[in-house]
Amino acid sequence: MSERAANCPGCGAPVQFAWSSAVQTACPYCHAILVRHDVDVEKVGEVADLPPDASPIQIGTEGQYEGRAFHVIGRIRYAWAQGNWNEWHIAFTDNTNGWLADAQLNYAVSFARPGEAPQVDPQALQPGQVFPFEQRNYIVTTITPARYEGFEGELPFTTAGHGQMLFADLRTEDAHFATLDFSDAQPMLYLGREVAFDELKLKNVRRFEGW
Amino acid sequence: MSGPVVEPAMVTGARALACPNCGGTVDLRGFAHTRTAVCTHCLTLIDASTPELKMLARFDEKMRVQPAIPLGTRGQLGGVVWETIGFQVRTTWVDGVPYSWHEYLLFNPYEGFRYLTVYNGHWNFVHTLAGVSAVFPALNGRPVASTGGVTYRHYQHGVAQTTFVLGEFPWAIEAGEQVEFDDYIAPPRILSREASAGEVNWSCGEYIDGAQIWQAFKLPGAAPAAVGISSNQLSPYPQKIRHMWGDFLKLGLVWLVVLLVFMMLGRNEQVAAAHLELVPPEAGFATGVTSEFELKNAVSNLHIDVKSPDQDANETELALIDRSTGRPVGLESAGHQEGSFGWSREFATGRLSAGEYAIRLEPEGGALSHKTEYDVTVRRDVMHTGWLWFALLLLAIPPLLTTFRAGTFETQRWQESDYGSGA
Repeated sequence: MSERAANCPGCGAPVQFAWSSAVQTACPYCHAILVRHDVDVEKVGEVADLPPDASPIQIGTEGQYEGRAFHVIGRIRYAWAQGNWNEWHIAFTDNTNGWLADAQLNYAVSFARPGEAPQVDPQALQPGQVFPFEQRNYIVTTITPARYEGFEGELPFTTAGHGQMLFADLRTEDAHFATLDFSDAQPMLYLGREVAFDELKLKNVRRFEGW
Repeated sequence: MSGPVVEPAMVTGARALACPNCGGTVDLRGFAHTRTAVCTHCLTLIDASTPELKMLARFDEKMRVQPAIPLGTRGQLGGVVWETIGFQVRTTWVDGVPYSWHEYLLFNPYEGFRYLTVYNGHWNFVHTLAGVSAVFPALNGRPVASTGGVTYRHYQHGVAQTTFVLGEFPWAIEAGEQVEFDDYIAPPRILSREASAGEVNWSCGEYIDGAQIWQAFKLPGAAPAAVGISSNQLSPYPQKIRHMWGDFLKLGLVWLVVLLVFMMLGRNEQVAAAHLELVPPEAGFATGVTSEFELKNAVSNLHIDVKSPDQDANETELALIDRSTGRPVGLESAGHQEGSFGWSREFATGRLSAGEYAIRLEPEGGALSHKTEYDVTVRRDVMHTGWLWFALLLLAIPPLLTTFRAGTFETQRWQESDYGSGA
C-alpha cells in the first residue's frame, strides 16, 4: 500500500488520501488531477469547475446504509442528454467502498461487482431484456450515453482518458437496480437499490437558503 | 494558490430570471434542478438550463388555468414540507371528449420531487417508483400489475397530452408532449405507467381528501367538493358494512335473549284434551260438548286446537263456554291447515279469569250425515313470537341496504374505466 500523504507534483502542496485505496484525487490548491501510483503521485490534468449543483450531499457528508456507517470522500458528475447526475464515492469504516447516486434527488446505493458483468455487446442491448443477478430478474430500462462533467475528492479509479461512455440501467420489481458500465474494455457491473433520503440518515449535508 | 475546492455548504436560494420574451420576472424555486420554466406572465416556455434562456414555445393564453394551490406555496404532507414549483394541465380524449386533470410538482431540496394530481375534486399524492412493475393478464383477461407485494387491477389506457404548463420543472418540457398511460388501481392507491419515446416511468399515487390539501397548504375557503366516484378512492362501505353487520349481530344477540325469555315465560301447558265422536241425531242439531276443565288461575290466553280426519266436517263451529255464565268466550282464528291427515283449526282467546270451561262443537247448520271424530286440545299461556321474527327482519334491513349500496359504489367506480358499461 502506498503512502497516504504525498506532495502535489504541480504545486508542491501536501495531499492527503483519506481512503487508503484511492487512485485519483484533486489537489485542493492548484486543482491538478492527481493519480496515485505505487510510489508516487502523477498529475494527469486539471480539474474543471463543477457546474452549479443542488445536491444536498457534499464531501464529508456522513450516513448509513443497512446499518453500516459511511462517509462521502469523492464524487463524479455525469452529464447526459437530458441533464446530469452525481455518483458520490462513499467509504465505509471497514475500508470497503461504494457509490451513492443522486439523480434529481432520487438516491441509490450500489457496489462494484468486479468480474460479474455478463459478456454482452452494448450495441445489442435493448430495453426490456432481462438479466438474472443474485436470484432477481433485472430488466434493462434505459441505455444512456454519458460523459464526465467533473469530479472532486478521492476516487477508486482515474477519470482520465474517457470520452463518451455508455451505461445500461436495469431495474427489478422491488426497487433494486443494476448498472452495466461500458467505459472500459471489460464492462463493470454495479448492483444496488434505491434508498429513501430518510433511510440514509445523512449528517453534514448542505443547507438550502430559505429551507 | 487558491483555496480548497469545496462546494459552499449553503446553497443560495431562489433565483429569478427575466423572461426573454416579456421581460417579466420568472421566480425559480428549484435551485439548480430546474431545466425548463414557463413565464407566468406571457406563458413562454424557457430553457432555464443554460444562461442563453432559449425560448422553446409559448402556451396559448386561452388555455390558461389558475392553479388552486399558487406556485411557491409550502405545505406539509406525509411529515415533509413541500413547495409547489410547477403546474400542468394534462388532457386525454375519450371518443372526442376532452378530460383534463391538473398536476402540481412538489419540491423539497432533500426529499426530491412529488406530485399532486386532481380531477373533479379527487386528489392524489404521487411519487415516482424506482422499480419496474410486473404486468400480467389476470384470469378474466384484464391486466394486473404487481409492485411492492400489492396487485393492482387495470383501470384504463389512454393518451395524455400536456395542454398547459406554469412554473418550473427539472426536466425538458415540450409543449403538446404526449404520453401513453395505463392506470391500475388498488384503492386507495393508483399505479400509473407512462410511456413516451424510449422511456417508461411508473408512479404510485395515494388518494387524499381535498380538505387535507386545503389544510396542508393553508388555502383560503374550502376545497371544492369531489364530483362522482374516482377510480382509486377508498370505498366507505366495506367498513360501514362490517360495522352494520356487527351491530346487527349484537342486536341479534339481544333479540335472542328476548326470544328465550318469552319462550321461558310462555308455559305452553296443555290443560285439556278430548276425543269427541258426533253421530247424526235422529232429530234436531248435532252438537257435542267436551267435559269441563278447570283453570286454577287466570291465563294470558288459551289456544284451542281442533282437528278431524273428516274433510266434510271442516266447517264445524267451535265455542268455548264459560260454565259460570254459560256464555261463549270471544275467539280469534289462529290458524287453519288442511292435508292428507284431514283438517285442523286453531283458535285463541285473550286474557281469561280462573274458572270452569267446556268446548262445544257444532257442524255447520247442525247437520251431520255420518259419524265424525274430533280431537280437541287446549293449551294455556301460548307465547306469540311472530312479531319478534318480524323485528329481526327489520333489524336486517339497514345492513342489507348498505351491502347493496356497496355494490353500486363499485359499479360506479368502474363506470369510467375501460371496463365500465359506459365504455
